[in-house]
Amino acid sequence: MEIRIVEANNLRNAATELKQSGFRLLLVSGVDWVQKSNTYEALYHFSKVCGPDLVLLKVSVPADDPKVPSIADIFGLADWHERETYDLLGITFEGHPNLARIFLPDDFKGHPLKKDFIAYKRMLPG
Amino acid sequence: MEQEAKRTKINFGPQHPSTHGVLNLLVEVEGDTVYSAEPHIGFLHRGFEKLAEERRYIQFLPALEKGDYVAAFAWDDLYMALLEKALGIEIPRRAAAIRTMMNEVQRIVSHLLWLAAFGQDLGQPTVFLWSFREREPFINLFEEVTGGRLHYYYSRPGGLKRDVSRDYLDRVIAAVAKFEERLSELEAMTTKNIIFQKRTKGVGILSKEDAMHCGVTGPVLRASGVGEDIRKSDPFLMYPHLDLKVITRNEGDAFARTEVRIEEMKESARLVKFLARTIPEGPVMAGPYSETASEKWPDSMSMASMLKVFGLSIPQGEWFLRHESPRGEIAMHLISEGGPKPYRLRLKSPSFCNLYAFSRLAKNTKIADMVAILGSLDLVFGEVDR
Repeated sequence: MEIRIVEANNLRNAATELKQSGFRLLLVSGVDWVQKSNTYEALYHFSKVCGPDLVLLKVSVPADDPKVPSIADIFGLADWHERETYDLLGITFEGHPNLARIFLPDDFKGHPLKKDFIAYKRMLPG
Repeated sequence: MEQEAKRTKINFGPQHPSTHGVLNLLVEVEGDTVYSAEPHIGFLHRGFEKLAEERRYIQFLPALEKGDYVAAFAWDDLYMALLEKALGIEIPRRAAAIRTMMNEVQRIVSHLLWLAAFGQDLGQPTVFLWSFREREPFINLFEEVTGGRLHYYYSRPGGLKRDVSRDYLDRVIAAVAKFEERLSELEAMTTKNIIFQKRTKGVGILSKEDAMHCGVTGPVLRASGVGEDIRKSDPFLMYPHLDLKVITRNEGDAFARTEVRIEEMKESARLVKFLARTIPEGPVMAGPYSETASEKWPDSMSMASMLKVFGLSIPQGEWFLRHESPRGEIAMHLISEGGPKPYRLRLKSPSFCNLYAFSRLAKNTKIADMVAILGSLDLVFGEVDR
């Protein structure tokens, strides 16, 4: 898998280029690196149509203002995946047509995949 | 304006039997014409990715199998293959062949369950009953070797929980041969039945461009004319050595999706028979956890070897792996910072992506056709909501 680090303002160009060279979007996700480097990372997996080639775009954004441009108009699938990433991790996708929560209820407080979100009062052993 | 006023918004589901679980559709209708259908999901959301982060690698397995409860083998084997890739364990050829065979039997079972539910959606209870009847022998075979009918936990890091006997493999071949015979009866009830054809042909047409744009995978994508099959394009286990035929159709309607799945069942049946005949002899466990192999019982269940498996820890790094489940492309991205728990585990579920295409397909159809379209996408809500 080829990993490419891209700047947030360059993401849409990179995604368009990949689309033109025959790649399809596989997955949008994000990682919380707040404790390590005070950033969030948005991940975009692309795969060659009918081929084994994989490309992973990594976009690092500051934790106090996590904003990434939306690619929902380039790849339709990104629409729901960006909503999911926003819902669970709190990264905002700018220019998304309807950035609402997708799994959790609208009045839910917090974003569960953040490392400081405590899912259980009692920690599991180990 | 007057036209707009006649339209009504109604809630379809989450209790409606045609929604295959817990899907709520906000449908805008006039008479029985659907103008828009907006899916609302999340009723079954259990937070798998958060659960994974809070559990040890092995402890997450029971949760993972409740994702796609119709095709647990596919997720199970992908997860194990990911752990093995991260740990650098090479599994024995026998274990890889048995896993591949189980995956293909699972594909038949999953497609049969889909056909049952689809028949029910179209008002054909016979298809429902007959599909369940054909599915039963395979479920019994799964139960015999794994102990579970839907949730198996058959794979271990480095191999398999239990070996299979020659007699068992012969019975798998016999069951598949019988299934192939009976499949023609099911075909006569569905793809060769004029009523079924009328209900599905030309319904819910997903063009090739739309399919690529919406990111659908699996039989839905192949029915729209794209020959993408991860078993062929990015294979693991024994798939690189198999002569696999990718089945495609160009029509992109509900009928094409049915045909693709029925042809896939035939193809899987052929692969299962081939694999069951050619499974190599040898051990089924290798690597650091081979003390837990069943032939070493009761030592295999000792505290020391159990602790070793449960204390499994993965070094820092990133791994990505994908596989073709009966519903489409599944993928996992594991990020580890060392230690016994993952830092981040991202799961890609095909049902989620296929459901995204639904609101596009349901536009300007009839309510009854909308149900047919929904059924033809083969959604499992455990997997959509995760």
